[in-house]
Parts: sequence; structure tokens; C-alpha cells
Amino acid sequence: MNSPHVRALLSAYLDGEVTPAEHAQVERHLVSCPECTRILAEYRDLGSQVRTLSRPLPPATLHRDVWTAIEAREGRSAWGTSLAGLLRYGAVTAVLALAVIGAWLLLRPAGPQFAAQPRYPLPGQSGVARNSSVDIEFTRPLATPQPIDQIIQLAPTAPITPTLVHGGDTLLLQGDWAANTLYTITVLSSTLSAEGKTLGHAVTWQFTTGDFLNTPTATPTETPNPTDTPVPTDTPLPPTDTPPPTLPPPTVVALVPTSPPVVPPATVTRAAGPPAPTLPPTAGRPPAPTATAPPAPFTVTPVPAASATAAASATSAVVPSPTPPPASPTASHGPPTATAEPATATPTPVIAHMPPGTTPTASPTPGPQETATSEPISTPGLTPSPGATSTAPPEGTPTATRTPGGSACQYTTQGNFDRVYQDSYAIRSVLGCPTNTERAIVTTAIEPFQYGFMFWDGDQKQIYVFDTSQMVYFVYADTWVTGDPSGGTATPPAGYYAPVRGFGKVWQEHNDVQTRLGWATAPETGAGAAAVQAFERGSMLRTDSQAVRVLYANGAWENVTVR
Amino acid sequence: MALDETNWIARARQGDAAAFEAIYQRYERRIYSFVYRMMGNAEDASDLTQDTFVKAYLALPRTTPDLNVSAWLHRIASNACLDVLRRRRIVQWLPWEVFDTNPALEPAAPDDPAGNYLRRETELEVQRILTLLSPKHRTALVLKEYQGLSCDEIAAVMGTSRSAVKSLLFRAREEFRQVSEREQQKGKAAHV
Repeated sequence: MNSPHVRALLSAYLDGEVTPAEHAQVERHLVSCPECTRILAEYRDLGSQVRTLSRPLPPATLHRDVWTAIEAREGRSAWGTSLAGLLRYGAVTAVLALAVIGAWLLLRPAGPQFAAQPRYPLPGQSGVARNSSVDIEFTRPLATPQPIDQIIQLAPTAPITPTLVHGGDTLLLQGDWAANTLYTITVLSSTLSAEGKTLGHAVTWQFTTGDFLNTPTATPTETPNPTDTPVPTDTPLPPTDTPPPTLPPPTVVALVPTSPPVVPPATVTRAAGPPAPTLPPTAGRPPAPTATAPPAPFTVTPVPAASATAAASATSAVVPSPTPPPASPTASHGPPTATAEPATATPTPVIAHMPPGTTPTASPTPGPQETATSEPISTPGLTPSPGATSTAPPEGTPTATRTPGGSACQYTTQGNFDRVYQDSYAIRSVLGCPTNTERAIVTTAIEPFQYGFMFWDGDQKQIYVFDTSQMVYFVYADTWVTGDPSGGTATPPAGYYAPVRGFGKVWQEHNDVQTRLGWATAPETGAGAAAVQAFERGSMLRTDSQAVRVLYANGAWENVTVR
Repeated sequence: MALDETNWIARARQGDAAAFEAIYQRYERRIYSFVYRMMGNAEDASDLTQDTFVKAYLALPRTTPDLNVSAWLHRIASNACLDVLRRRRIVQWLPWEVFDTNPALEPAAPDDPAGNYLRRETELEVQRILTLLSPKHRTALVLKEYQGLSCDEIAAVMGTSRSAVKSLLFRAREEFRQVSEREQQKGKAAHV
């Protein structure tokens, strides 16, 4: 009765891993076999005992240890790693490992390794502002003077201005990048360190530009929030109780270009039309709204969409657009033209591009249409601040120490922002120091969409667009005022909504927003108490008690749930 | 797999530290508790969880875009555990001190000290039995009952077939029963 075969089936039966025939066989057997019934009960009981074991909490130091180990490992050979593992776990193998270590110490090359790492844009990053600086960090200071074409190779070519900062270990390439262009950048193996070493191997990565510009993050504000005192990010911090290590003044050593900046050849004309932005696969999606589908409920100056231009010019690689966009102060966001002016010369009413949170929407160069269109006021792109001496590390310090700890910052984080900031080395590294105190947002609204959501900061009149597919965000000035059309005239598919008022205006005016977000899935509602805090390279936004949205200056965001 | 996780993986594969941090935050405790139950003590759990995430960070660029990050992390973690357990077996060293460690657990209910004590005792006993199982049986059982993985997922983690997992689980449960009975007999003998 109690055959081993049935006994073996009991375990699979418990897991639901038997065939219907086996299932019936086991059940028939159990009716007449108390022994198997008891064993099945024991299986269930032991499973229950294991399942209800507690979930131990990792030690508070684990997170820090992981990132410290990652940093250490990134700069070492796989060799060193194996040794560490052997040393940790085997008394017998440790003896052997020690012998190997001795040999390694004797044979390894003297001095620290010379390597390069892209800091911004990251490999594969898209949506990079046309006036962004490429930020490359080296493990050792570079030799100066040094021809820039001995260090960098760029394809396609573009005018770049190289600058060395942070004691010479960080190279910034201020570029005038073409819009919507895939750039391949190579740090050449001929790069020389100050000690005369060459790079072990070339480092190559790619990034893609967007069709917008950033303005410096230190743009003065016209209507500062009375509760905030925005601090330009390049303002040296005042001394604190625990002063940071004494550092030399920022050494900005211009490299020596061996040839004048190269202007892109005529064949690389911007009239070729930018590639369509990469969007998540649409398979399975309900039909996304299109630029032509809903009637325009607002009377605004049309803001040409890059994607529409790409489609229009896709059949003509070098011929300028037959219907150039109307001259508009928003030209920097429009389709690039064959005679595009350098980025910095483009007149634009585009409001300040600052990290959201401290950015009043005042325009430094008011234009006639600034109240009619809602332009992004914070767009992807990071502008490294060469003057940020407070965050510069002592020479030779590992990369991680560039990011200040809480004690080195002028402003502190509080509550859930503090928990996220203090708990995550990576977030601290990327965001840098807070540049202000946390600001409560009293007037809020939020609306969910098919592929993201919008959040309204009514205090600052800003609308955040969160794309949850690509995990990127955009911030627009809310230019809707009472008396404007309330929107909502587009006809959504059954079960969806067309956004109204400020949300509707941004959604209506920006085809890209429509494509990214799709239709609203519910009417907008108040979002309750919210708060925002600005950092050197991004911000944190809290719209409820549990989640903190970390908004990076490169346009990416992530949601961190506070435990 | 959640959409945001897919996005994190794609970004992390390209070296985005913030995306890897998001993955870390999601799996830190899950992997730590898995390793803790495999090894039975906090020190090993901390060391091997650290190793797991460091290896994962370094190996991410070589993974494929359709990576199942949960199974992948469990596989790295279980391999790390099995390596250590195998090595200790060779040198005939058994971590008896594991039973004296006091892991950081979630706060217990303050109004039920007796219940807490019993739960604590039961937990120590179950952990002791787990630690006495053969490493492979322990891995299969912990993945199934503690981590809630399916047989297919366990097969992916352990690099074996689904039918082999079913067989492993059967043998693991049998071993658990036998070890449990043996330990109970020892306990009774000690009190006589």
C-alpha cells in the first residue's frame, strides 16, 4: 500500500507538480493509507515551518559595503577578487593565496592603475541636451598640456571646448552638439597621465542628443519662493563645523587643441532630420493619441515636434525641410534646420532649465509667447559645475568620495528624503548636495495616464510629466490660466480621459507628451501634501508618505519606497 | 517582471549605478534572507550577499536583455553559498557557532513575550535542521518553501531540469523529516 512510488509522488502532489492521472492516483491511495497521509501532513508542516521563518534584516552596513566593494573591484583585476574570496573562506587555501599575493605584489606594475570612466552622459544615454558637457573621470590627473586629439576621438565631429577640473582628473567637453544625433566618443589609449602613463585601453561609448538646450543651473530667479533661498550650485559653500579637506583652488587647465574645433561637415546637416525618439514598444497598447487626432482646444503658437519632423524628413536625408517652421522664439525646440545657429545664439524664451524644485518659472529673456506655450523648464541634461570645489576630492581619492556626505553639505535632508539620501550611496553620488531646504508643495494635483502620470506643483506653477515606461521625466511651466479653454475636447477611447486645464494644455501642445503618456486613465485629483528638495544634480519629490521620486538632472527618475 | 525593473536592468547593463541601486534596493533583503537561511548565520549572510551583488554588478554588462534578475541573483547567491559549504566540508570545519548568533529580526510583538520566545525557539530548531541538510537539498527546500519559487524557477537557479527539482524536493523533505526525528530523539535522550 505504502509503495515508494506513491511516496515519491507525495512531494510533487504537494507542489501541484503531478499529472491529473497521478493526482487521482495519490488521492485514491491516501484514502486507504494512514502512513502516507501522515507523511503528507509532515511535508505540509515542515513547509509551513520553513515558510514562516522570519526575514532577517540586513545589517545597516551591508549597503555601504557592497558599494565600497564594487568600487574596489572595478579598479582591480579579477585576480584580486579571487584572492579576496579565498582569503575569506578557506584556511587551507589562504596559505596558497598568501603565496600568490606575494608573487602578485612582486610582479604587479607599480603605482595605481590609470583608467577612464564616463560620468555623463552614461553609455547609451539619450535625450542629452545640445549644450551639455561630456564629463569623463580619470583615476589619475592628466598630463598638461596635451593635445585634445590625443585624448578624445569623436564621431561625428563637433565643436568641443575641453577643460580639466577637479585637480586634473576630470575632463569636461563643452560641446555644441547637433540635435538628435548619435555620438560615439572614444577616450584614446594614447591619453597621458601626469605621471606619464598611457591609458591601458581605449574606452568607447555612445550617447544621443535631444533637440533642446539647457541653461545654466545658476540662473537667477525673479520670483523666489519666500520660504526658499536658492543657492546657485556653483557658489562655494560657507565653512561648516567640520570643514572639508583643504583643497587647492579649482585648477582649470585648458588643454591644447591641435586643430580648431571641427564644424560638422555639410553632409552632416541637421536638416537630415532627427531620428524618431525611441519609445517603448507599442504592441498591445491601446491606440496612443496622435498629433492630429484631437482637435486643438487651445490657441497657441504651434511648437513643432521633433518626431513629426523626423517623419516628415525621413525620405530626404540632406534636403532641408520644405516647410521650415515659423520663426519662433521656441526655435531651439523645433526641428533643426540646415542653417542652424550655434546653440548659444538661438534666442529662446525657454524658461530657466534648473533642477525642479527651486526653479521659479520666470524667464531670463522674456519673449512674446512665453505665456502662450508651455516649454519644458527642466529637461534632460547635466551641466557639471567646474567651480564646485566643495565636492572635489583630494587627488587620488576614489571616485565615490567626490560625492559629499551629509555632513559636508550646507543644507541637510529631512524625513523620508533623508532616509533615501542617507541610505543610498548611489543616489547621494548622483544627486550631490542639497542646494536648498525641503519645500512643501501645498497646491497639488495628479493624473494617471496609460504610461505615466502628471503632477502639478501649483505653488510654483510647474507640471511634471513622468514617463513610467522609459523612466524619464520632463518639467513644463504651467501656463494655463482661468479663462483659457479648459481642454478635454479630444475624444478618448472608451474608458480613457482627455486631460484638462494645465495638464491638458501641456498634453495638447506637446505631441511627445501625448505619445509618451497616452490617454489619461482617470480625471485629475488633488495629490495631497507634497514636498520637493533640490540637489546639485537633480531633486527629490514626495507626493505621499511612502514613496520618494528621485529626479536626476539627466532626465531619468526612479521611485524609491521608504521602508 | 515589472516594467520599471526591466528599465532598471537595461540601464544597469549599461553601467548606470542608480539603476543598479534600484535593483539592489528591491532584492537586498530577499537575497540576504535567502543566504541567511542557507548559511544559518548573519556573518556569512552579510559576506555572501555582498559577494552576490558585487558579482552581479560586474557581470551585468555580459547578460542578455531578457535577464530574469530574480532567478539570476538567486543563482549567484546559491552558487556562492554552495562554494563555501563545499569548501568547509573539505576542511572539516563546521560552523557550530551559527546557533549562537542572534540575527537582526523584525521587531517582535512587545505584548506577547511568551509567544515570541516559543517562536524564537521553533525558529532556531528549524534553522538548525536546515543547516544539517545536505547543501543541495537545503537549497531546493529554501528556494521552494522560503523564497516561494516554482519548480521551473528553481530549475533555472540550480541549473537543472524540472524533473530533477521535483526529485530533489522529495529527497529534501525526506531528509528534513529524518533529521527532525533524529534531533527530537537526541533532545529526549538529553532530558532523561
